[in-house]
Amino acid sequence: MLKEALMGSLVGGALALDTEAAFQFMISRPLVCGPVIGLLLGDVGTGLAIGAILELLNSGNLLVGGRTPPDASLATAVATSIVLMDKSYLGSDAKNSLLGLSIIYSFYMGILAGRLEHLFKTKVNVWFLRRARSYAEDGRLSELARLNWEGLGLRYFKNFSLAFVSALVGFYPIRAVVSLMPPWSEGLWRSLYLILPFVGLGSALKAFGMDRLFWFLPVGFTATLFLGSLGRMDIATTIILASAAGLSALLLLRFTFGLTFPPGGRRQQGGG
Amino acid sequence: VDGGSKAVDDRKSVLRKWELFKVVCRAFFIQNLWSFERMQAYGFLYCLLPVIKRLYTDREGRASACRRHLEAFNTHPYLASFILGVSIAREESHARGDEPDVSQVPSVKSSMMGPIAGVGDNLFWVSLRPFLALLGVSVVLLNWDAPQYGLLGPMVFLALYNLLHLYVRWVCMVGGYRGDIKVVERLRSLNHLRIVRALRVTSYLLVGAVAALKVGTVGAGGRGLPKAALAFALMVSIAAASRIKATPAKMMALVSLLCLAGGYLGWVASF
Repeated sequence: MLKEALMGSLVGGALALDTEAAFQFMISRPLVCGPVIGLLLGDVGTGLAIGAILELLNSGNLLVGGRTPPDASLATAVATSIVLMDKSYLGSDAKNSLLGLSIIYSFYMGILAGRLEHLFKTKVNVWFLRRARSYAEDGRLSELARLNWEGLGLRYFKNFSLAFVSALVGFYPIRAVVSLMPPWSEGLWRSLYLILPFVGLGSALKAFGMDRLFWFLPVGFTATLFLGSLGRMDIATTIILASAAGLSALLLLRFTFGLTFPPGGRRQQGGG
Repeated sequence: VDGGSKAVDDRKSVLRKWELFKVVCRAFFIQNLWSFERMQAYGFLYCLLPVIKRLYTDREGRASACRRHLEAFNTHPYLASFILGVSIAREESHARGDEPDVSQVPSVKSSMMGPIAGVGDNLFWVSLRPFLALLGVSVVLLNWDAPQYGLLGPMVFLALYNLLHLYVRWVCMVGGYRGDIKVVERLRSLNHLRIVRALRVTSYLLVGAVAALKVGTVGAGGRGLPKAALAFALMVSIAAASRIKATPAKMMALVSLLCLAGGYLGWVASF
C-alpha cells in the first residue's frame, strides 16, 4: 500500500514538472497522467477514467500570463494512487463511491497545490532570481546554469512530497467513509461518480466560450440521440470523431504547407 | 565592442550548430524558475548561456550579456524560441563587431513578447489544447468499458499536439535566427477567424454528441428522455454558472450537496 503511494507520487511528481517547469509536452495533463500512473499501479482503466474526468474538470484552467491554475496532474496522481492503493474495492459495489470521493478530494487538493505553486513563484523563485542576478554580475555561467537544476529538483521534491502526503492523508478517511456508508448513500455516491463526466463536459464548455455558436451543442446532442434511437450510434460516433480528426489534420497542413481552406481563403479573412 | 569583450573570430557565423542545438534543448526549460518579479527572465538567460559562453571569452563581456538577458521577460513558451533566435543573431552580430551597440536588445525583446504571446496563447492554450484534449477525452468516454481502445484517446492527443508544438518550436528558432518574420505571419494565419470558428463549432458538436452517447439510447416511447434532458440541463447549467463567476470548486461542492440530498431522498441517477 505504501509502495503504491510512493510509486504514484514519484511518477506523478515528475509528470507534474511538465505543467510549467519543463518540456510542456502535455504529459502532465490528467488525460495522460492518469493512465500512466494507472499502468504503473496495475489498472490502466481506472487511471484512464480518473484522468478523463479530471481533464474535463480542469480544461477551462489556462496557464496564461501570471495565472497559476490548480495543479491537475498532482490531483490525478493522488486520486489514482488512493483508488489503487488497495484494490480490494475495485470488484465490489463500492468502487464507484471510492472513485467519486477520491476525485472530489483530489480536485480540492489540486486547488491547494496550485496555491502552493503560486507561493513558490512569489517567494522561492524570487530567491533563485536574486542568486541569478548576483552570479550574472560576476559572469559566472556555470553557477547560473546550476540554478536551473536546483530549481527543478526543489520543485520535484515539492510535487512528490505533496502528492505522497495527500495520498496517505486522503486514503484512510476515504476508505472509512466508503466502508461506513449507510445504504442510502451508496446510491448517492454512485450517482455522483456517474454524473461527474457531465459536470466535466459543462466545465469544458467554459474553455470555448458561450455565444451564438453555443447552439451547436444541442444540435450535436439531439442529432446523436436521434441516431441512437434509430440504433445507429456507431454512425454518430464515426461522423463526430472523423470531423474532429479531419479539422486537426487541416490545421497541421495549413501551418506546415501554408494551405488555405477554402482555396483562396485569405480573401475572406474577417468574413466570419 | 563594449565591456572589453572581443569578437571570437572573423567568420560569418561564429556559433556552431552545437550551441544552437543546446539552445533548442534548453528552451524546454524556459518557464522553470518563473517568478512574479521578472517572470521568464532567468529561463531566457539559461537558454542563451551556451551562446554567451561561446561568444564572449572575458568576464566583463559575459556579465554584460547576462545582465541584458536578465531583464523582465514573459511570452508564450513555445513561440519564445523566435525571440531566442533573434537574440542569438543580435549577440552573434555584436560579437563579430557588426553591431557595436546591443543596448537596445532588451527593448527589442520587450516589443516582440506581447504580440507573440497573444498569438501563442490564443492558438495553443485557448484553441488547440482544449480542442485536442476534448477529442482525446471523447475517445475515452466512448470506450468507457474498453480501456484498451480508450487508450487511443491520450495517444491521439499527445501525437497531434506535439507534432505541431515541436515543429513550431523548431521553425521559430530557425526563423528568428535567420530574421525570417514570415514564421510569425504563418502562425497568425492559424488564428484566422474561420479556423477558430470551425474549431469551436466542432467542439460544441463533440461535447453534445459525447454527452448524448453517455446518456445512451432514449428507447421506445421516449422513456429515456427525462434522463437525457436532466443530463443536458446539468451540463448547460455548469457552463452557464462559469459565466457568473462561479468557481469550479463551488460548482463541485454544489453538485456533491445536491447528490447528497438526492441520495437521501432516494433519487438515483443511472447514466
